[in-house]
Amino acid sequence: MADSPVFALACEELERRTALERLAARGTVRIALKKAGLDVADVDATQMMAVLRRVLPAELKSRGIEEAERICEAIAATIAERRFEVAPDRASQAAETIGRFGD
Amino acid sequence: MDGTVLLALVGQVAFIGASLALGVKLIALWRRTRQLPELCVGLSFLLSGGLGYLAWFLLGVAMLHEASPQLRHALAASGLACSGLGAIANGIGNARIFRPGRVWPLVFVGMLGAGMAVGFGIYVRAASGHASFWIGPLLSLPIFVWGATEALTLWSVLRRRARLGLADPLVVNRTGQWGVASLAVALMVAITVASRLLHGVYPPAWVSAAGSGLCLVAALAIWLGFFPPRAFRERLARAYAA
Repeated sequence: MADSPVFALACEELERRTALERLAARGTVRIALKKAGLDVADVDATQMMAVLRRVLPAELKSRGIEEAERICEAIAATIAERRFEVAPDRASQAAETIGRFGD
Repeated sequence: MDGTVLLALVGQVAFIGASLALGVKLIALWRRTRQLPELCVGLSFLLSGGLGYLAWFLLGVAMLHEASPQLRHALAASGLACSGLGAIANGIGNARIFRPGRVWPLVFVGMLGAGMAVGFGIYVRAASGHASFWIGPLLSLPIFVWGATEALTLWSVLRRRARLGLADPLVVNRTGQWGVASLAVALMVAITVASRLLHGVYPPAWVSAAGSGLCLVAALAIWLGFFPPRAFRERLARAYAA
């Protein structure tokens, strides 16, 4: 399954703004997404921005990258400027259905 | 009243009541939305947990009072029909909610449903207590195990998302409680079938106590997941906000 364009952009920006190589940048973002219960194939902009603000800074710091918060905030701002077409993932669709069961 | 009998009574009545209440609630929701998942899950709770378990409960009472074989056979057959149809509805609901657009879950449920129909057909033509009675419960087991696995896996994903504000804590809780209720039902079925194979018609006291305890667990999970009291909802919201 192809990666989400949001994931691809976040990885490109991380690679551009840090000393991380392509594989390391993708691996770091992938780990942060997994910790947040998200998947590289269908992460959307809102989800990625939450990960950039709440999960990725700690991952970057653990890899010795300074000013992690500022870098993540800059990447989040770049993502916020773009528009992406990402269909909701299977977990989000299931959660929406189960959410109705409480109505 | 003996402690085991009291536990059996409380557990089974709580489970039947909770299942009927949830079944009616979801079917009322389906009448507004006309969406398949609420119809399937509603029918599952109404038929399997509600009417099916009510039939098992009455069958137990009929056996204790040595009711006629015809009455026992009729109760067993109606329990089998309700439980089987409920399990099939549960399977279709699981497929629609957790694996939309995939063919294998429908094939899986279709094969198990066909097996249940064959077992039911044999049982209604046989005498009361015929071994074909157990085909239906045995084939419903994979559906409940699958449903529990899907719900608990989703709960694990949503719990992580909720910490980032990406999922509603109430939905996370509902998903987890649904998984717990499904798991409790699967264990109830497994224990009952295993006990019948090992101990015959009358289960030992510990099997009845375990089954009744699981009924209580399932009833509590249904109540907390689908009818959560305000204090519990507030506690959930605070826990995830922290």
